[in-house]
Amino acid sequence: MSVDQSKSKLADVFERVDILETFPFRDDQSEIETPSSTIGYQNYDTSINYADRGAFETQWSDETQSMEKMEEILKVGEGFINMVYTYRSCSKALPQVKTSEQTNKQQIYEGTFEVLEPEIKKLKDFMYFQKDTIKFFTDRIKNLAGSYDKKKETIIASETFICYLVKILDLLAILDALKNMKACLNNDFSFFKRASGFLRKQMSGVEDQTQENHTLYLFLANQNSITTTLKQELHNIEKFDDVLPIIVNQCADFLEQEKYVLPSEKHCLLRVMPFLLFLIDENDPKKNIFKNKSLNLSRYSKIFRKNPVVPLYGDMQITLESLVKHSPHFDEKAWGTSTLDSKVAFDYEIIHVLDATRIHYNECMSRFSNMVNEIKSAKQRKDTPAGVYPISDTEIKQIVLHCLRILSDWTSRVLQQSAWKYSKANNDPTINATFDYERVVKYNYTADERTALIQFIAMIKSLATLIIKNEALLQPIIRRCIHQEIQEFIQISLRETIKSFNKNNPKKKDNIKSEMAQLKAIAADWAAGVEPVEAVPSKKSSKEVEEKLVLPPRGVPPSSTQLELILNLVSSLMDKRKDFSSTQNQEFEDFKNKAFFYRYLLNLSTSVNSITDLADLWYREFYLELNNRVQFPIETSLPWILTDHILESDDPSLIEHIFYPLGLYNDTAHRALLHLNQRFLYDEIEAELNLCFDQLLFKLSGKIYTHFKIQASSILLDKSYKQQLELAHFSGKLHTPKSRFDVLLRQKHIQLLGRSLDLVGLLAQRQNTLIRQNLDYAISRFEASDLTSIIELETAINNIKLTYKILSEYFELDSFDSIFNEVNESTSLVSYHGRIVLHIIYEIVSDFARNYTFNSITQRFVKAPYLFTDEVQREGMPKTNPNFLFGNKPLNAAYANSAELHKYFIGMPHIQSILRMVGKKNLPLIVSETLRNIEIKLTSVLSPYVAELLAGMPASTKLPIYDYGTEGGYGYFQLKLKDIYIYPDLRPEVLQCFRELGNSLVLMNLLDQAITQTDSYNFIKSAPFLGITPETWFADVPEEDPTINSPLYSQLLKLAQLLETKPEVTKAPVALNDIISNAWRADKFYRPSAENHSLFKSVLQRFSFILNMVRNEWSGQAPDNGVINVDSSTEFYRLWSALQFVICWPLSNENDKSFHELFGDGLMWAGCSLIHFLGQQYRFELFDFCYHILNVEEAAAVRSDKPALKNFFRAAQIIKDLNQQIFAILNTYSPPPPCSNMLLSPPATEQAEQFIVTTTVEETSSNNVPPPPPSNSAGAIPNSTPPPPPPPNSSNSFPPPPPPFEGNLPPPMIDDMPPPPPFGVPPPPPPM
Amino acid sequence: MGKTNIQKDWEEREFIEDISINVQKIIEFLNKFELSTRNKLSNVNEKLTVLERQVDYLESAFKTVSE
Repeated sequence: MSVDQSKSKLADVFERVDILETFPFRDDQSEIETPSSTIGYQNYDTSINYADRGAFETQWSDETQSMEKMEEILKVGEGFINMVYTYRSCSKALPQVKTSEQTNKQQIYEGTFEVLEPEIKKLKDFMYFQKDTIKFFTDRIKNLAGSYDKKKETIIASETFICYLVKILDLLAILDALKNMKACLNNDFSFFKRASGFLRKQMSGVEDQTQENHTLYLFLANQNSITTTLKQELHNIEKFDDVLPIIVNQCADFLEQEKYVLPSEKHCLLRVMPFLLFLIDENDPKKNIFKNKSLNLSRYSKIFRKNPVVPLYGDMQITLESLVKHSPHFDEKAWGTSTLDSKVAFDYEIIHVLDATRIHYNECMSRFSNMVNEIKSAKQRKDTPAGVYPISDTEIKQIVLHCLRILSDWTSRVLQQSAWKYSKANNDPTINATFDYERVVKYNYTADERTALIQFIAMIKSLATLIIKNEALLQPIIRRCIHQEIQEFIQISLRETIKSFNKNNPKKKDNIKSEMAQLKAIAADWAAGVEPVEAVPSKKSSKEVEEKLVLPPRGVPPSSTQLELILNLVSSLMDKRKDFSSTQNQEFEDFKNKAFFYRYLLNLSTSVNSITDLADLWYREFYLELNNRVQFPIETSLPWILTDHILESDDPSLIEHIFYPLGLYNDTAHRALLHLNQRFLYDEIEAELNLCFDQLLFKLSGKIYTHFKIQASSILLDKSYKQQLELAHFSGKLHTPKSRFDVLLRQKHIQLLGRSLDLVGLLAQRQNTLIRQNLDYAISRFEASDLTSIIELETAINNIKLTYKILSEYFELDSFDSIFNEVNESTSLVSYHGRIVLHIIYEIVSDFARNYTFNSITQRFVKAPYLFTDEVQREGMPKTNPNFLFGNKPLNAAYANSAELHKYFIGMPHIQSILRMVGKKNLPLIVSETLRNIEIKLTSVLSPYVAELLAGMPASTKLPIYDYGTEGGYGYFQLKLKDIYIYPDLRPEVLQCFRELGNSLVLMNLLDQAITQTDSYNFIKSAPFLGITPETWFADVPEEDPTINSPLYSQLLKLAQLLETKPEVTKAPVALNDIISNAWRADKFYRPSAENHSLFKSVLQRFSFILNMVRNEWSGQAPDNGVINVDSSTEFYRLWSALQFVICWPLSNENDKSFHELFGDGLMWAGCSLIHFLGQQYRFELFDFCYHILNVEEAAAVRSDKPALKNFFRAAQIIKDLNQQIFAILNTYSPPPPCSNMLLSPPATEQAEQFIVTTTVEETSSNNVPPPPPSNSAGAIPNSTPPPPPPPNSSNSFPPPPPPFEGNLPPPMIDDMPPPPPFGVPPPPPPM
Repeated sequence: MGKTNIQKDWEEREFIEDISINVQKIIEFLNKFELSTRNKLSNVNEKLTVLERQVDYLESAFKTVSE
C-alpha cells in the first residue's frame, strides 16, 4: 500500500522533472566556447575503488586487493608528480650568508631552516614513496614470476592488473624524469643542509637525521636514481625477464587494437614500452633484448616509429627510440633505421590532416545532432511508446563511442604536435629569442599552423560541448543498452555455452564450469527475479524456452567492480579457447571488445572532459626551470598566441573561434586547482588571463570599431567616385570587408575561470569611449586647422554618426547627441559655447577676416598672397590615427583627395557646412562676435587712422576741370595723394582693417543666403503638412488661427476625437492629448512667421548702430555754403576717394601684388558700407577722383594710350562696377534713410546766385524709396511686409537699431511654441 | 528459491539510477536557467548603464543652470 503510494509519488516527481525540459529558455547567443557548468554532477561513481568486491564471489576477488592498493599508490604518486613538476626553488629567494663574520648569520640560517624544512619534508616523503613503490612493484613481479607457466608463456594476471602495473611503471618513469629535470630540488636541499649543519652545532638530538639527509642527498643528486634502483631490484628476481615481456606485449596489443580512449592512456602505453625494454636490458649478454624470444622488436619498432615523440608530462616529451638505442646491444639490423624527420613531421603536424578532420567533424556533428533531434522528437510524440526511438539503442551507443574516440584522436594529435614542437626547437639564428621557450612555442608555429591548431581546438571543444550538453538525454539510453548487452550475453550466449559445455565435458574441467557459473551469478539480472528453471531437456522444447526468455529492460549499469570482474572472467575463459567452439570464442571476444569501452561510456562527461583536456598546451614548468625564470611573458603563451593570431589575422571566419583558445586557460586553471593543487599556479594563470582578457577587449573593440568605421566610410563615399577609384587604384579595398562579428556581439555570458563575463556589455563600454575619442580626434583636428577644414570636420562627424548608428544595432550606447555635446563641451543649458563654434569664431576673427580676399564674381574667399598679420596660433595637430579617420588607408586616401577640393577657398559649401555643424542655435554667437570684432576695429583702429589721414589730406581736393584731360587729372591726383600713397601704415594697418570689416560683412551676407536656402528647403518640406498651397498663400488672411485648419493638426484632432468616443480601442487616452499638443507645437514651429527675418538686414542695422560712434567725426563739418563741400571736405567719402585712387595706382614693378590682389573685394565692401551708412553715397559718386577721371576719359575724344593710365582705367573701372553692385545690394537690404531732402527751386531770376532751400514733410514721404523687394535669393519665403518706415525725425535720421543682438539668444525651439488649448475645446487664437 | 543478493542489488540500483538521472536533469535545467538568466540580467544591466550615464549627463547639464 505504502509502496504504491510512494511509487506514484515518485512517478509524479519524475513527470515534473520532465516538464522542466520543455521550459522555454531565451538565450539567443550561439555557443562559441566550452561551457563550464556551474553545477556539476557525476552520475557514475568510479571512486569506490573495489570496496564492493565482497559482494561478488570469484577467484579474481583477491587480485582486486592489489589493484585497490595500486589505485592508492597511483593517487599518491600523482600527488608527487604534481609536487615535483610544480616545484619552484625556494633557495633562490632566500638571503645568503656571504661572509662568516656576518652578524645576522644565525638569524639567516634559522630562517632558512624554517622555510625549507617543510619542503625538505616533502622531498623525503617523495623518496620514501618511490622506495615503497619500487618495493611493491617488484613484489608483484615476483608473485607473477612465480605463477609463470613456461609452456604456455602465460602468467596468472588479468588484463586490468597488468594495466595497473603499466601505470605504476609509467608513474616511476615520469617521477624519475621530473626529478632529473628539477635541479632546484638539489639546490634547495644543499641550502637546507648548510643551514641545518650550522644549526646542528648548537642543537643536539638531530644525529639520526644525518643518515636520512645523506640518503636524500644521494637520491636527489644521482640522475635516474629511481630507474636504476628499480632495474637493480628487478634483476634480482628470477624469471623477471619472462614476466616483463608479457607486459610489453600487452601494451603493443592494446596499441595495435586501439584499446584505449583517453589520449593519456595511449601516451602511457607508448611511454612504458621503451621503459620496459630498458628495464629488461642489461650488459649481461643473457639479458639482451635483441635476443629475447618473447620480444618482437620489429613490431615495437613499427610502433615507435609511428610515434617517435610522445608527451611525457606537461611541457616535457620523450623520444621513444632513444632508450632502445642506448641499449648496449643495440642492433640496427634488428631494429631498422629510423624514418626521416620530414616524414615524421608530416605525421605530426596537424595541418596536413586538417581538411580530412573537418570532413570527419562535419559528419560527426551532423550524425550526433541528428540523433539527438530524433530522440527528442520521438520523446515528444505521444503515439510512440516511451523509450522507443527511431535509432536503436545500440546505434546510439555506437555513435557516442565513435565521437569519443574521434575526439581522443584529435586531442592526442594536438598534444603530440605540441610534444613534437617541443622536441624540434626553431633554432634559426636570425630569430631574436631571449629564451628557449620562445623557440619551441612562439617561433615554432607558422601562421597556417596556428590557424590549423585553432580550428582543431575549436572542433574538439565544440564536439565535446555537444556531447556533454546532451548527457542527461543519452545517459539512460546508453545504460539501458549496456544492461541489455550484458544480459544478452549472460542469459543467452553464456547459458547456451554452459549447457553445451556441460554436455561435452560432463565430469571434467570443473574449474571452467565454476568460472562460468561465477560469471553468470555475478552478472545475471533475471526478469522473473530468479533464474528460470531449466526446462526438461527434451530436444524439441528447448528452443521454445529460449524464445520465451525475456530480458528485463533496466537502465542500470554494472558497478565498476562488477564490470571489471565480468571482464576478467570472460578473458580468463578466453584463455582456454581450446575448450570452446569457434563461435563461442567469437562471442566471448565480441562481448569483451564491447565491454571494454563501457567504463568510458558510463561516465560520459568525465571521459569527455579528460579527453579534451588541453591544459598541457600552457604548462611550462620544465622550460621555466631550464631557463631559470619565474614566469614567461604572455606573448609566449600558446593560448594567447592563438587568440592574438585570430585578432591579427584577416580571416573573418576565425573570429568565432576566439574563445576556444582563451578557454584553454579554463583547462589549465582546472588542472592547477583540482589536480596540481597549487594555488600559486592558479594565481599566475588568473593574472595572465586578466592581462590577456584586457588585451583581447582592447584589440577586439578596436577591431570592431575600425570594421564598422570602414563600413560607414564605404557607405558614405560618393558612389561614382568610389567606382572610379576602385577601377584605378584600390580594387575591392573600398568595400566593407567580410566579417562574422555578429556572432561575437551576442555573447552576454562568457565563462572564464568560473567568472561570467558580459562580453557585449564590456565591448559597449569601450565602443562608447572609442566614439568619444574619435569625436575628440575629429574636433581636435579641426581646432588645429583653418576654417576651410570645416568640410572635413563635417565629413568626419557624419562618418562617426553613421558608425554610431551601425554600432548601436549591436550595443546599447549613449545617445549620440549627448556624446557629441560632451566631447564638444557644449553640455551647458544656458550657453552655447561648444568647441566647434568657439574655434569657428576664433578662425573668423583671427584668420578668415584678416587674411582672406573676397572675389565677388566667384563668391569665394581665397587666402591673400601676402599676409600683414602674424601667424595664427592654433592647437597642435593630434597624432595621426588612421583608424579614427576613415578606417583604412585606401579610404583615408580617397577621402583626403576629396577634402583637398575644399582646402583652398572658403565659399558657399563652407558656409553651409558651418550652418549644419553649429546649427541655428549657435549662429547668434558667431554673428555677435563678428560684429563685436567690427566694432572694436572701427573704434580702436580705424577711428584714429581716419582722423590722421583726414588731417593729412591735401587742402583742396576739388576735381580738375575737364580741359586738363585724363592725363592731367591723373597726374594732378597723383601729385596730391603722394603723401597718402607713401604713408607707411597704409597697407598693414588701414587697408588691412578695412578688409577685415568688409570680409566680415560679406561673410554675414553669405550666411544669410545659406540660411535662406535652408529655410526655404524646410518650408517646401513642411508646407503640405501646414496646408500651405499657392492658393491659400495668396488668399486673404483669415481671422482665426491658421493652425486650426492645417492638415496636420486638424487630422490628428479628428482622429483623437474619434478615438475618444471609443474608449475600448484606446489604451492610453492621455497620449492623445500629447499627440495633439505636439501637433500644435510642430505646426507653430514650422509655420513661416509673418516677419521677414533676414540675418543680413539685422547685421546691417547693427552695423549702422555701431557706426554711430564715429558718425559725427566722419560726417565732416557742415558745408560753408550750406549745401555741399566742393573744394575740400572732411567727410569720410572724400578720404575713401583718396584711398580708392591709391588702390588703383598702377604698379611700378611687374612682380608687385596689386592692392586688389592683396585685399580683395572686401575692401570695397567696407568702403561702400561705410559710405552708405554715413549717407554719403551720392556725394561720393559725384566727387570721387577715379570716377571723375573715368568720366573725363569717356568724354574725351582721344583715348590716352599710356600703359600706366590704361592700367589705371582698368582697375578703376572694375572698382566702379563693383561699388555699384555693392551699393545696390546694400540699398536692397537697408535702404538709405530718407535724408533731409533739399528742394532746389529754379532760380527766380537769371542771375540767381542763391538757392532757396525748403524742406517739406509731404515731399519727404512722397520721395521715399520704394519698398525693397523680398530678400535677395530665390525669394522662396514670400515675405511681403516691408520694414516699418522709420520715425521721421530721429537725430541721425537712421532707423533705430534693432533690439540689441544679444548673441546668446537662440532662435525659438519647438518646445518654446505656445501650448495648444486644452483638448476638446476649439483652441483660442494664440497670442501673436 | 529466493532472489540472490545480486538480483536484489540490480533492482535496488534501478531506483538509485532513476533518481540519479532525474537529478541530472534538474541540474541540466538549473545550468540552462542560469545562462538564460544571465542573458536577461545583462540586458537589464545594459539598459541601466545607459540610463545611469544619461542621468550623469543631465546632472552635469543642470549644474550649469544653477551655477
